[in-house]
Amino acid sequence: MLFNSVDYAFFLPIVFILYWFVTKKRVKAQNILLLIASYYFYACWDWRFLFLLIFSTTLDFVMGIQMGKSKTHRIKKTWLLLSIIINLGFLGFFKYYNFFVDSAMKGLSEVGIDLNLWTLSIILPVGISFYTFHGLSYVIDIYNNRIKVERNIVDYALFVSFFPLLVAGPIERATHLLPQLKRRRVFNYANAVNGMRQILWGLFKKVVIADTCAQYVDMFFNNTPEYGGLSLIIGAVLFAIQIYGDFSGYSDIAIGTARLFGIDLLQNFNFPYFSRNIAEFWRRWHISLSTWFRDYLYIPLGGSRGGTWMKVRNIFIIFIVSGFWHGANWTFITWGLLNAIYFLPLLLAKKNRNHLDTVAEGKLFPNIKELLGILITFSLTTFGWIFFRAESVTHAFQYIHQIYSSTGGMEEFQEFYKWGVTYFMVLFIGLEWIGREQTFALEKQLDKWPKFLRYAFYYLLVLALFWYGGKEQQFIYFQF
Amino acid sequence: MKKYLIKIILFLIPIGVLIGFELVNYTYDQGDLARMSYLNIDYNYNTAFGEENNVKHIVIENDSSSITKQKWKYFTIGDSFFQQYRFGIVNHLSMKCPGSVVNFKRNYLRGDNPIYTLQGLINSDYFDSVRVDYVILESVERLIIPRIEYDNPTYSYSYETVQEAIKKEKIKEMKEAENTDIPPYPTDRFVKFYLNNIFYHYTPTGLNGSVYKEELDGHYFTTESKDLLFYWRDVDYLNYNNDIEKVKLLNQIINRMSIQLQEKGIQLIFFVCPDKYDVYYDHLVNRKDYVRPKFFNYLNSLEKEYTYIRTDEILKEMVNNGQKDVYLFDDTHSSPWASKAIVPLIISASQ
Repeated sequence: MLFNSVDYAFFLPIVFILYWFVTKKRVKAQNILLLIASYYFYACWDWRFLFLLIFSTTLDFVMGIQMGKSKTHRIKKTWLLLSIIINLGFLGFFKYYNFFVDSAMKGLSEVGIDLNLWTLSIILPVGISFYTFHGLSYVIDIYNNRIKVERNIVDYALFVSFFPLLVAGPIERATHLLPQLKRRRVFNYANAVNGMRQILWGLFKKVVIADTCAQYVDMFFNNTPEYGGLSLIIGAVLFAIQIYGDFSGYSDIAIGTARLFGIDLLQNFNFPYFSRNIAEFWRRWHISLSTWFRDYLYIPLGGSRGGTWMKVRNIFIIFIVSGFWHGANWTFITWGLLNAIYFLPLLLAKKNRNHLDTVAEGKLFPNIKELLGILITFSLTTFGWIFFRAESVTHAFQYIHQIYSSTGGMEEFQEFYKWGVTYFMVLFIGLEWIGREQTFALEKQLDKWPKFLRYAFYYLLVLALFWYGGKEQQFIYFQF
Repeated sequence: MKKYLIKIILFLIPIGVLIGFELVNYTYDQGDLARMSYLNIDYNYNTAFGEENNVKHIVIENDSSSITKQKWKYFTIGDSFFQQYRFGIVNHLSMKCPGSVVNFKRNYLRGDNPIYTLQGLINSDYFDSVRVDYVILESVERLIIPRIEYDNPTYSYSYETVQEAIKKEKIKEMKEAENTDIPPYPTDRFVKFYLNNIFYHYTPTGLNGSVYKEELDGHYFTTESKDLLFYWRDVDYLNYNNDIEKVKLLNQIINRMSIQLQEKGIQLIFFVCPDKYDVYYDHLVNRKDYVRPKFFNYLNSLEKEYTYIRTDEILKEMVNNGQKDVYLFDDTHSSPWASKAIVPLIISASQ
């Protein structure tokens, strides 16, 4: 069930009312209710993969207990490795099997060996990349003694499957979410108001901004040779906006929903397109994933310690794996590689920890240097997004070549202006900029507005949702 | 908590009321112009057409396996004005001449360009496999000139090519039929329903400009309303259709196809379904604000190598003689009464 659907519009209030009025604030009852709701939510996508989810949950729960019982470090490590192998095995099988087989067959045919290997005809279980990483973070944190073994299967299952974050994140940590699930949740008015605001803002970003951009992006990317260079540049920029609106919109809806239940989830996006360099961008984009890779891959590999070659190696591993996590296609690996190339000079020059503050903090406008940094960073990331969106690496290079070799392209953009969505885009960028020091754009700034204006703004957002809604665009990150 | 719930409910009540009103008053099974304009229209097809509303669709399509097993009297190819399911001219022709009509389904190959499609079939061996006496070609008035814009007399669609296209289309139709998901809400219909109904009081095209609503000088439909609804392209494409050079080019192309078909022993019957705007133009109260269509004036005067049916004459005559619902009130297409009037002309032209 999509967040912007009639089903969800009924599902959420029902769960909300049962949660606060029927379970009577008993933790156990609240958790059971949320777990049932979460499994129902997932089953609406595809009930067959619910068994896989339950299996993965049970596996890591049992592994955790076994690790807790282990008398020696070696046995503990064995259980950890078993969990990692099985979890990644399932992920690899469903997500990457066809990619490896197809790549192998192509590679072998280049040297004259023609093989016809069996490929899977199966859809990717929704959310597998996310809930697998939930489980892995749990077993790894137990191994590293960051968290105690969880002995309540309901609490653990809820940590893995909590419906707002089940299919597209944020990727939660056991250390952050599990303790919240063990505490009694008390309704907090301010938190619930912000939750609804965040849901509304997330829907706006997804339905109005991302889905409208998507129509043009599809046009430019699906028919690249027919468009001029300017159109294709606009297409790449629109994709940058689309993926941000789509993914951060989903995260806002997820986080806002969790707030309604008194649960706090990790911030996943921190206004990344206002970053002044690539290192800052990666501290602000898909934070839950990048910190996951930092904590569970980069640091165990040695991180920034060690010699230059080790640093270089680790950076490339992290970004390539991150790219590969996004999908079984060479385009994602290329995108990861490109970002590694962007990041490396900053790391080697020890500038990757610059800009830890918010750009133009306390001011209305950035200075020239900051503005330049923002534009350059945005351009670099947009260039990378071409690979992310393209069907293949060849297509990406065709797209780039077409930008440089073909003139013209304003005609297609005129229709975009006619639709009026440009005004909403300006509003969107403006509010994101003004709200950049908060966890989401509307968090505090609406409190300063008069009540009448605030409600008029809410109704405007709702009308925009209806106006630009209607064409179902799958959330981009569901394919992961 | 109570304060929160009350605030949410109070916020949602106006939205809920408006959605409810819209859901009740917007009907999904109205004609295309009603759906596009979001107008609430009171038009009953049973009242307007009686038994005609319940006739069966008996057309034999070209995806049938029997198509090469016999010689057909009529091979029909056109757009939705021709093939309008049970209301269409093809269906009525099939009822009058059972077993003699085979129709080329419009969603294969060149989609909505029957002229290109027919040229492609003529250039190939298609009519060696599908044996016919008469080809009936039709196009709606507003699209006829755009359809010849990129004329290429060398297109070729063999029988095998068509069969492949049919297979692919059927697979696509099966996949579409499997998708029973309800589209998500919200949709733009909610907003456009109210805005359009308001804007139609001030402008003839409402908010989104795709449907004109103008007053007629009498009751020409089985409704209380004296309005005429017509599609924006009926007006916007007049710059093509009122260009005599383009109409001459059209005539040349149809002449060419007729000669080519005659070489295969096949006669071409060609007609153009008039736009609703054209048929009712003389009855518009505000016609001074609109350009007069000249397409049929031009085409009717040109020399032809094909059998031509003057559909504009017969349909305008019906309207002037007081026949109601010659076109559907809430749709751009002609009605069963129009089909019943045109079919005898086709039959007499082929004797």
